[in-house]
Parts: sequence; C-alpha cells; structure tokens
Amino acid sequence: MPSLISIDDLKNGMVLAEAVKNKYGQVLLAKNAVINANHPKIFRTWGVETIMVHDDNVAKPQATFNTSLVASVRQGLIDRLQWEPMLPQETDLLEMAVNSFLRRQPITTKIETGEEEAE
Amino acid sequence: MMDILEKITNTVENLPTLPTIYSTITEAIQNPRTSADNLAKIIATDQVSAIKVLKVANSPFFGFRGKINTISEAVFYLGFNEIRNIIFALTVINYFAKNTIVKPFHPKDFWAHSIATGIAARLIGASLGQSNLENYFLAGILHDIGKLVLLQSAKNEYAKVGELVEKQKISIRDAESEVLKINHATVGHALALKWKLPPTLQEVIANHHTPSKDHPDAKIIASTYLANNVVKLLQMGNAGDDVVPRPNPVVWEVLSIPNGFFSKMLDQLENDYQYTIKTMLTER
Repeated sequence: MPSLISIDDLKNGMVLAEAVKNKYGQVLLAKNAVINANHPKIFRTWGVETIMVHDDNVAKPQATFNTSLVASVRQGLIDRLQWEPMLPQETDLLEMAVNSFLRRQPITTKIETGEEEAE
Repeated sequence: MMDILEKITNTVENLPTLPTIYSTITEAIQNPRTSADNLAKIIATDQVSAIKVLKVANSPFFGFRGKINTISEAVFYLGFNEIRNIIFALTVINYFAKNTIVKPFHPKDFWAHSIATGIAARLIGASLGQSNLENYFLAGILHDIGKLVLLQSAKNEYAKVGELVEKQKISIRDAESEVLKINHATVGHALALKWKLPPTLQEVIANHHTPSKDHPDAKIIASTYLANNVVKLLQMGNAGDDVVPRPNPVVWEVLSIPNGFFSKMLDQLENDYQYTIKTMLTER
C-alpha cells in the first residue's frame, strides 16, 4: 500500500507510488522512479512537501524481533505502568505500545525477516 | 503574598478574549449567506495562518494527500467547522507557545502531547462512526489548556508541582491539587467558559480525567480520556508526568472499541503524529 510521507523523510532508494507534480501540474518525477539524493532539493524548490511512496520503502517494522527482546520490552512497560493487563482492550493497548517501542530499538538488535533466528 | 487561587483567578480573568480571527470566522459561519470564497478571504487576511491552514489541510488524516492548493479548496473539501477548529488550534498554540516556560515541560513537548491526543481522539471518534470529528481533534488539542494557565499564573508554584511529580511519581493532577489546591481540568474549564467555547469542548476540558456513562457528551469525553492515555503510554510529547493509569472501565462501556483496534491504529497514529507536529509546531 502506498503511503504519504513528508519530503523531509525521503530516503535514497524509495520508489514513487505516484508521479510528483508541481503546482502547474507538470510532472517533476514519474511514477515508479527511484529517489536519489538530489530529488528532495528539487521538490523543495518546487514547493512540493509530501510525496506518495510505496509502503515497503517506508521505515516500518520490516524486522521480527527475538522473543527475549519482546518479553523484556513488555516487562519494562508493565513495570512502568504498575498494572498488568486483564481485559482484552488492556492487552491490546499494551501490545500496541510493545510494537511501538520495539520499532524504536537500534537496528542491530533486530533480526531481519527471513534470516535464521540467532539466539 | 497573594493567595495562589486568587492569582489563578486573576490570570483567567486577564487572559485575552478569544482571538479575533476565531470570532470573525464563527460569525461568518453562522451567516447562511457566507460562501466558501468569503470565508477563504477572511482567512487569507492573515498570511501566516493561511499557509499553516493549507499545510494542516493536507495532513494525511484528511485524505487529500497534498492536493489542496488554496484556502478556498481547503474550505470546500474540509468544511467550515473543520477549518474554524484548525485555525483556533493554531491560534491558541501560537498564543501560549510564545511564553517562555521551563518547568515541568517545554511548550513544544506540551503541544506535541496535546496534538497527539487530538489525532488519537479523532481516530477513536472515526472508529465509532462519529460525524463531528473536528471537535474530537480540537478537544484533544485543548484538553490540558488549564496547565498553561496554571503555569502562567503561578510559575514558581508550578515548578514545585513538577518536582513533586518527579519525587513521588504521582500524576500531575494529584500534584497540582496538593500544591495549588486546584487542578488543570477545573482551571481549563474556567478558561473555556471565559472564551465561550462550544459547551461540548467545555465539558471535555472539565472532565477529561473523569469519564462517566451518563454524561450527554460521554463519547467525546471518553475518547479524549482514552486518547490522552494512549499517547502518554507511547510517550508522544510530554504532558508533565509519566503516569498512565489502568483505563477507567467506564470508557469500554461508553465506546465499545473493537478487538485489536489499538494495534491496528498504531501505524496511522504515528504517521499522522509525525506529519502534524511538523506542520503545526514549526515557526513558519
């Protein structure tokens, strides 16, 4: 699924999901083009602020995490909250936070999808 | 020394009335003969807010993906009330952000927390099929406004509130009650009354820590309560404390949130948050 991102978050190698146009409707960069280091500057010059890129290029949880890391993040949250989830909604809230904090972990602690589990 | 409560009351009384652009726009909206172009002209008289309104109107949660190029288009696509609320939020942020506040939170972090609450409340409201989502957004942004009034009226005492929060790991609301004998919900409500905000917003500001089943505005109050706790849990911005209580079970009764809602909401909340704090909190 394509996502809208700010040009401040553009990274080299991202793929456009929609052509980028200036305010006159002229195409600056075609659909499926690959972003390089010069593009953000050009977009800025033309007043383009947001861009549609293919989702797999946006920083999302592309990695799985080893179970001990997940468990320690979860326990850290429970210690911080000082309550343990009992209702399904509470569990959902906690798991949402676990996911969010796992994404913020440095890349080295993640195990890339598809690789063998190293524990 | 002047009594703290007296100081706070004085501050609320002395705060300026609603920024004029808000009342001008509200009057224009109430006039059935106002067109989108008329309204766009009023907004365009303030160049700075016009540019910001455009940026916010292109936020991902409105779904127009950077396609709104003029104020008239923004008014046309988003509607009068949405535009009025965006302008009001920007005006209030701008009004209070100028004051140099040090403890217990930086104004930018305070507003980041408030904006995140607005986005989360909006997402919760949308899942309930509510039609007045612009009020969910504004309610979230303004829910803690009383904290800024307290800071402004009793700066030194509020620093003590911050110290107490840190030392005893209690909520800022409890610390306010202990040090100041009043809390931000009560003070925020007084300001909302003075500003003659819509009654629903007054109620959310007064009750955002105390949801109930029987209140006529139960849904928006419960949504803001829950949104506040969600973004505190995720540490988006800084509300002045890190206390996230087990949600009051009343909110589950009022809102009937579908299973797995929060995990599904996370991506959108984080994306919308990143975009919106950039557009609403940058200087120009």
